[in-house]
Amino acid sequence: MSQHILDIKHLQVWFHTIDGVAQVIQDLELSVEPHKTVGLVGETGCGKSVTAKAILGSLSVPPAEIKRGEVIFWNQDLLSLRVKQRKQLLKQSMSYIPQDPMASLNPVFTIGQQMVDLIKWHKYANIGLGGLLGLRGWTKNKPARKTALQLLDYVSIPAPEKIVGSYPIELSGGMRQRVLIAMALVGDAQFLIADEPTTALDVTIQKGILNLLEERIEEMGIAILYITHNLGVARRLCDKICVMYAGNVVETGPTLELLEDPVHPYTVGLIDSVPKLTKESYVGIEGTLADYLRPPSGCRFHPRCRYAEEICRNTPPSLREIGEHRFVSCHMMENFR
Amino acid sequence: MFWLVIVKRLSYIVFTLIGISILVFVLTRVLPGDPARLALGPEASEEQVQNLRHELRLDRPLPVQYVCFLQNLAHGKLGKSLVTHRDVTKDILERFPATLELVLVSLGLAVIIGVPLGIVSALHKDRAVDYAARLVAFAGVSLPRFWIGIMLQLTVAYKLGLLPVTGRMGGLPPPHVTGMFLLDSLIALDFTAFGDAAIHMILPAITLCLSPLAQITRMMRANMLEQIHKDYIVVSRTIGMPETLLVYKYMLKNAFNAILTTVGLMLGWMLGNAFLVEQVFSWPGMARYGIHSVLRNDFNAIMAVTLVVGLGYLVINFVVDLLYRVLDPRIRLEK
Amino acid sequence: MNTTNEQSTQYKSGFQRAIYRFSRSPLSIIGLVIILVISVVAIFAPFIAPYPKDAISAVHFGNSFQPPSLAHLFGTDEVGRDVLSRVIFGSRLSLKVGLVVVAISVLVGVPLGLVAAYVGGAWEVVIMRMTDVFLSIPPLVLALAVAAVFKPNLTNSMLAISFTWWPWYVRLAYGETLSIKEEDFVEVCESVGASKFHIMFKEILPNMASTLLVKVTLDIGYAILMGASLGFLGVGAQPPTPAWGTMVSLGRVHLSRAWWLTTFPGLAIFLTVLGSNLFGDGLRDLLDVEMER
Repeated sequence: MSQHILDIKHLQVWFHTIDGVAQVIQDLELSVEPHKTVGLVGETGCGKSVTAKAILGSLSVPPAEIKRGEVIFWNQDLLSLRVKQRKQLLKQSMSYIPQDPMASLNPVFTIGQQMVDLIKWHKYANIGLGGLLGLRGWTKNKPARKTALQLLDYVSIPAPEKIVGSYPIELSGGMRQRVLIAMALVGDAQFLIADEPTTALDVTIQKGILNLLEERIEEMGIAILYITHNLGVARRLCDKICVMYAGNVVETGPTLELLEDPVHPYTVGLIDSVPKLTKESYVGIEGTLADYLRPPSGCRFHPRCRYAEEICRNTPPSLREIGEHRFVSCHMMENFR
Repeated sequence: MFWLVIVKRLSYIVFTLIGISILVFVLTRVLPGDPARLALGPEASEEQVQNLRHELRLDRPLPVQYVCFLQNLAHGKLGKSLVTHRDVTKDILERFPATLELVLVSLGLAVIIGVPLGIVSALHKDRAVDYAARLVAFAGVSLPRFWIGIMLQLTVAYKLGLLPVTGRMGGLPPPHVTGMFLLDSLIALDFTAFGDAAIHMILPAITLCLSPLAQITRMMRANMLEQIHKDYIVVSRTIGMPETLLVYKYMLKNAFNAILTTVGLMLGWMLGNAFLVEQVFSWPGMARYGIHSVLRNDFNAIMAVTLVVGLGYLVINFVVDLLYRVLDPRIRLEK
Repeated sequence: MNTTNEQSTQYKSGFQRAIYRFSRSPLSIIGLVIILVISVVAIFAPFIAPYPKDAISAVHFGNSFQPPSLAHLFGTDEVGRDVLSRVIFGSRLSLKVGLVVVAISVLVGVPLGLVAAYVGGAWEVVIMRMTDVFLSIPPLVLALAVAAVFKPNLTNSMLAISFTWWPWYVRLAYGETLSIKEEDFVEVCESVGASKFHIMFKEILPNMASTLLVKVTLDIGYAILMGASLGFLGVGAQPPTPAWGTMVSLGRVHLSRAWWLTTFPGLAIFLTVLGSNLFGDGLRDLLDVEMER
């Protein structure tokens, strides 16, 4: 297991709200191998972003509470580290692409200024006041700017010189997302969390970004946790898919295998509900998403599952290995495999 | 395109000024009490009063009076004060620097203290510092200016004898350059005069700065708190960027832009509203002059002061607007 | 086949959440307490004041300029009247000013702003330009000018202040209406054929209620402050009426020998405005949270 770059074990996260305790993440297990892209797939509200935040350490600890679990990154449990150590580790090895390109860039600074700040902070240990303020005489400005231009070029932005002097509001959504990707690549991280990077974009723009990602991921050999609700995107980019439902990973497996031969009833339902040209009628999944304040007992999917039995109501299942790299969390799976 | 905006704004200023002048004109002519009688006093004969009335054209219909007023205005003549019997313009020019100086110092204090206080308050939300700062802010807007001025005079000046009670200077003022004593004494390198002027400035400036200080603190606090949750800050923090950088560069620039307009507006507002403080501290400023004019229905003076203050207010608004465009790229670049 | 947890979650009601949040903020509670105390004092003034007659007409020359003591908690003034009683009765006048000014401003300003924003056209231009003119004149100057027109007394000073206050409500209503009228439900009403009047006052107006409420609460304090300022300058209520601002001004003359004459009325003004500010701010936090949901 130490060959995993990221290994999440038995993660449980609760949120304390005015209305009560929302038990969002129940018992999450997930792993990412070096140089591989893992897709974290699930519908809105299943807890994908919370998981990402838990890894990055950006959960606001009240109201959130990590009840138990381990987030093991390069053989170190992030949750047990002190804040400073954790930040140091993350700075060296982990990066992040946020979801909303519009809101994720500071509107009153140019792209160049933001990127140069980021590069300076990553590469130079003591940037001091001069560095912070970006004073003209500061020696490392030039190389930092050069790096910025190189990165922008790497994400296929035309005319990087122009972009560097522009403000976020002058760029289109697709451009901004490329800038964010470039910023995520500052610092040679070995692991990247991409939080639905194309969700906020037009379908046509999405395509361009996906192409870019496909190429570069291949080139860089970076490990990625790619969060999305779109199975098609996951299919395209990911080596492995983890399907998430109501705070748990319910099925894991190599992409093609999982998509062609899903086991968990939720995964089956999910794939079935994707519109296909050859299909005549569509079946959704009955019921609604679990209420985290009063989650279903036992298996959280049981109220919507046609195979549910007594044991499903009483005991939460856990991920069991059913084949090479294949894990499913279900009591009843023998009955319908 | 840009020039069109300027022209539009300038014409707007002119129209508003015209509107103000009409409003004040009507008000002052409609006031009961005969200005001529008030000016000459109870001993003057009826004939003298009638003569003055004729001289002031008070016996003509209102629209005619207004036209005469405009004609005079075009020649730069605003008439004489019925109280001081001098040219109103002269009266104002004498007093304006005093008010300006007081206002600038007060506003400066308000910004220098208020901005850091607001930032600190936001960063330590709900802790002791925050509550203290917020209490100060609330007190600042609630304290009646005239009362706290008097209280300060009573305690610090009178009982403790630390500072002078009233007035702008104890000794001779420095040679006139701008009319602002602090500046003029520095220019003349007269440090005794500077100290003298400064000491006299302390209590009035403190009294006047309380309300803007409170408002600035609250605004900075609110803006910084808003910034903390903005996505771009959260993202930067997530990837681990140092908090110092975040606070003092990224959040601050956003938060500060927003208060700049308000500070400009405060400047304009204070020019016209400093008179309670001027009254309490016998500060020989334009605002106090304005109030006395109103109380005595010295209508030329009233009109002049109102126009000056109104103009100042509008011009400052205008400048602040332009400044805002320069500082916030979003506004500038929005087609 | 499908069994679910039958009990649905009990979400707290909007009102309960509001109370919960409000109670978390000590400053707001202090504000509320202050306002309640002042209101009670104003309403029950004749029963609370130790020497109610002193409030208006009684004179006790022998007792003048007594410093604060057990018999006279706030001391006595130049004609021997009990300052505490006068301050207590003064609360009535102040509250009156605050409430009347704000009431007039709302009743005049809000409809104007609504019409300007919703009906637009010539109405908008005329109303907003007029508002701008009024707003460009320093308020106290305007109030003074108007107050000086008529005899200086409480009623006229209230009218004068209202004269300078209403434009702010026009602006508020204008801004709010501009954004509210873009909402879907307004479009629905229009397509169904509701009258302009109905849309403005029955649909749009309730949506700005919370913003209005916050401003009203804060303004009551500020109006009281302006009333006191006018009183200080001599154009408010005249002696012997125990208006706080007037008392400060009159007491100033005797500052060196009887500091209590200016201190206590001024303190009363301060506390009242403070209460309105704290409460209004708390109200704003509360309603903002509500609007987030």
